[in-house]
Amino acid sequence: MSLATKPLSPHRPDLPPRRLWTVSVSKSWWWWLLLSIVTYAGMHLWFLQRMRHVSPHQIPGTGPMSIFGWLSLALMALATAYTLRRRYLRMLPGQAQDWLWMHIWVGAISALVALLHANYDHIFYNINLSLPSLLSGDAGPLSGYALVLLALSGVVGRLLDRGYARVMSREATTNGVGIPQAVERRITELEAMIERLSAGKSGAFQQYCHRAMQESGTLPAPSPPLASQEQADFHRMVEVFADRTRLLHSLSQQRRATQIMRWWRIAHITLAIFTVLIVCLHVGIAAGPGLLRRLHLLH
Amino acid sequence: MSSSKPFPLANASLVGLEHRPGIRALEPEEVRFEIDMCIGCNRCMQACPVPLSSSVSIADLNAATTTPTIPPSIAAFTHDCVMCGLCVPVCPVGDHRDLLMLSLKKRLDVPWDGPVDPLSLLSTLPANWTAEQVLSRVRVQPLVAAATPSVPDQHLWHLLLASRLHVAAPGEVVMREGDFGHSLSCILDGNCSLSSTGPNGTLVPLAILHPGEYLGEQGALTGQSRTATATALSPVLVLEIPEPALHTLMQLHPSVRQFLMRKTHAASLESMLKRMALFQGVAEEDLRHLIGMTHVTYFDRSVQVFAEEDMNRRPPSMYLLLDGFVKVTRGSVRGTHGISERILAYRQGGDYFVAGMDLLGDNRPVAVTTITRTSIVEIPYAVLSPLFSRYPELSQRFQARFERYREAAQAAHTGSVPAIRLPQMPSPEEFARTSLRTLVGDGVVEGTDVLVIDLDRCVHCNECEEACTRRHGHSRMNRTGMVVGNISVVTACRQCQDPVCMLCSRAGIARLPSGEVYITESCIGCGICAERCPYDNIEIVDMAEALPPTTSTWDRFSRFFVQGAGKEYGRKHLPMAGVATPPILDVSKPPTDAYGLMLKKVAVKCDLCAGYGNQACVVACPTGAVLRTNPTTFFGSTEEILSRRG
Repeated sequence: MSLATKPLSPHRPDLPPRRLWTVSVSKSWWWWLLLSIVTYAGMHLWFLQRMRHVSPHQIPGTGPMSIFGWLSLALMALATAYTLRRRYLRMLPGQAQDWLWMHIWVGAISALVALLHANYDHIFYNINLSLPSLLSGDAGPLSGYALVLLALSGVVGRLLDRGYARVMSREATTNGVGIPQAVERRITELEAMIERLSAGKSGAFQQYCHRAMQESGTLPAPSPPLASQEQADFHRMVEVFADRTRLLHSLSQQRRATQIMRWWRIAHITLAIFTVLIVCLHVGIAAGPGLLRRLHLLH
Repeated sequence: MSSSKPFPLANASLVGLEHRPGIRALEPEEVRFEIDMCIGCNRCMQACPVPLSSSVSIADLNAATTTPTIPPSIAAFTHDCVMCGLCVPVCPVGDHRDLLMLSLKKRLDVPWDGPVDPLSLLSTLPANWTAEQVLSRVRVQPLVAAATPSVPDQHLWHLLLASRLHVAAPGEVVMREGDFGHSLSCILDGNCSLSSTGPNGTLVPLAILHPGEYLGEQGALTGQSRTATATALSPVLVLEIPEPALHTLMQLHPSVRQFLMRKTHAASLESMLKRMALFQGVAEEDLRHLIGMTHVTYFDRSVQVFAEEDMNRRPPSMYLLLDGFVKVTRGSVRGTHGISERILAYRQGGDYFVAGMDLLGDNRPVAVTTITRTSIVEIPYAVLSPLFSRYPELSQRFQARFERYREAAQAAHTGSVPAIRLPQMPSPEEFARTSLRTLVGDGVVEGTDVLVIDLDRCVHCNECEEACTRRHGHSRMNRTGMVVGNISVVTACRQCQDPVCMLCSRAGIARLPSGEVYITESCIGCGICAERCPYDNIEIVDMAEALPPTTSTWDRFSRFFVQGAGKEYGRKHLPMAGVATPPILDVSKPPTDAYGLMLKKVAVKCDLCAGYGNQACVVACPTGAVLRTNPTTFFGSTEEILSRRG
């Protein structure tokens, strides 16, 4: 484990440094990356070898390119297994993070292999986003775009997770309380403290407290006229209110980060469902008749 | 060497009541008054966690308290009562039902005074041994022989019944170094070799143990892991006395406790003094003489050892910490929020201070307060000064250490710690230093297996808590906890080296040899362990809440898509085949026997998924942010933590 001290932000020298302890990354990160690189490299070489004697008029996704469609489908199914492991088949061995690394790297190369299957059609040439074009070739371009978009959304998600996790970590470190659940509890305690301080006080005191609680942020001005015996509690209330304001700000930062990460997950899952449906449609249209003929179910 | 422990226990009726020191029984008039006050609402019985309370009527209980006759059902309930005190706050008339139960306990015999079932006793005897032979061997054990007055046979029979007699074959390991165990093993016949793992991993022989000797007292008394391995050299008859039986014996016969404490601390003090660089070169006889003139005092957590005002009242002695952690403080000038405490230093086992000063070189007094359970040895200056003159290098080392303490004190100055957090942010140095010291001050370094979350990776999906709930029926962890840097120390059991929670008269909480502290099937949820845990890592839940609720088909269908299904893999193994450990309680399954059905509450705490092959929270985390780790390995040793600057 390494130890380092890192300033929280170069733009905020007033913030105290954070002491960092690093938890080592799981070895599966390396293994799946290596495996994915080797797998894709092998497939790419095989693609080049198969395409050596192919006519330039060969329809994308057919002939020697069709096998890469099946390979991409298999890789996609493997990447999808993470969802099953995470939600339904929890008894499968391995830690969830190992499966996630598999999902990330295999998902990435499944999109790349799909591009091989399409011979980079609609990506590097023949780019046409009209609906007829997307649905041409048995909805191949649409499924290709969906897969690439899904992979890209995964990349965005990783970046969001890293970025916003650090935002939440920074807030938890500096707010003096911790994660949102702890902050909410503390805010409730502080509000109860303000209520107790205002109990039995003059009307001006209580109204001021009420206004302060309603208007989150700075304290209302001017301060109310108070009797001398209320001054000490008033100063105490000001301190507690300042604490509460600071924690509310921290809580809103943390909640916003959580919300963004949650929205991304909803978007990614929705896109994944759409991609799976489109790919299944593409496979069904493209390969279905041939398969049925082979099974003697179709003339 | 003498020792003292701050609770009375001279009264046999107070056996098993270490958690209620200073408890006073009611006078007969007070008993009658309280019974007259009782309105029979039965709230005390409803609040009582003892399963038998469901079958005891308040009328019968009151009658038994004020009349000479105690029916068997009330006697059984009285024996089961653990004096948790849950019956007191619910009483609408302010009766002290716990003290009324104490008066009943006083009238009943201590269980060990009762007769022993001869058949049960015979079934525990090994082949070719009679009960009288075993008893005679037990009687010559030093801890029994040293008791004054002598231990009656009746108590020894009960001790035998509560213990385990087994014959270890030659070569069999009787006790393994590094294991956690809470039993004391007496060698009744045969010989054992005692060895320890040396620096190269080889076994270094230490001693040969003969009949009449014992081993494992350190683990039984302090909860520390075993410090040596004992292997049978010949067939060895071993009497393994579990901690509850040992504690009952010590409570009935305080001289047994004094004997064990004296021997244990003499041994650990001798080994500690030999290891200390300060005492290098001092002859063994001089060390033993020094040890014989010392006095050990035990302190519970958060107890003030010295107050600043005590400085001039203390004799000039050196105080050496045997184990535990203390903080050295000095009060500041009174401010708007009262006197603020200035933490000057932390001290741990092996450190020392003189009278009320912490050798800061300013001759100003300090206050010393324990953080964990601590034992402190007092070495009078009159005993030390001849050593200083006989060993000049000893005196020089003390002076050098004194200088280093002064330098460390200046570097470790933490400033004021006001009681109320002020709106302005602390300075970066103060902040970082305070965070580090939280690890020591809040006892994180006391744990052996702490659950931490790397907040730089955590996406707050809550999978860890949900996985724990799926596996155990009720979550045993809570993600809220102290934050140090980017690490959150989660609210989950830290498997402390010296767990203060393990004070259960029903053996409701136990420790596996591998170190996991777990709740056993004997737990009745009285809450004493939860009260004692200084980190709030034990929760008491209602059994009705702990069991998974029955749900409708629609609930199960919708939950399938929202929360998923299935549990993390991890085959449950039979706990430690061959080792006598109480069975682990599993609240995720409905009770299978009548006792289980009567159980009202239960304690729930993390036991590192004992019995499973992995930990559900660690397995379920998708980002690898959750980690179970030894705090010393992860954060660094205490010296490293305390010597770091902000």
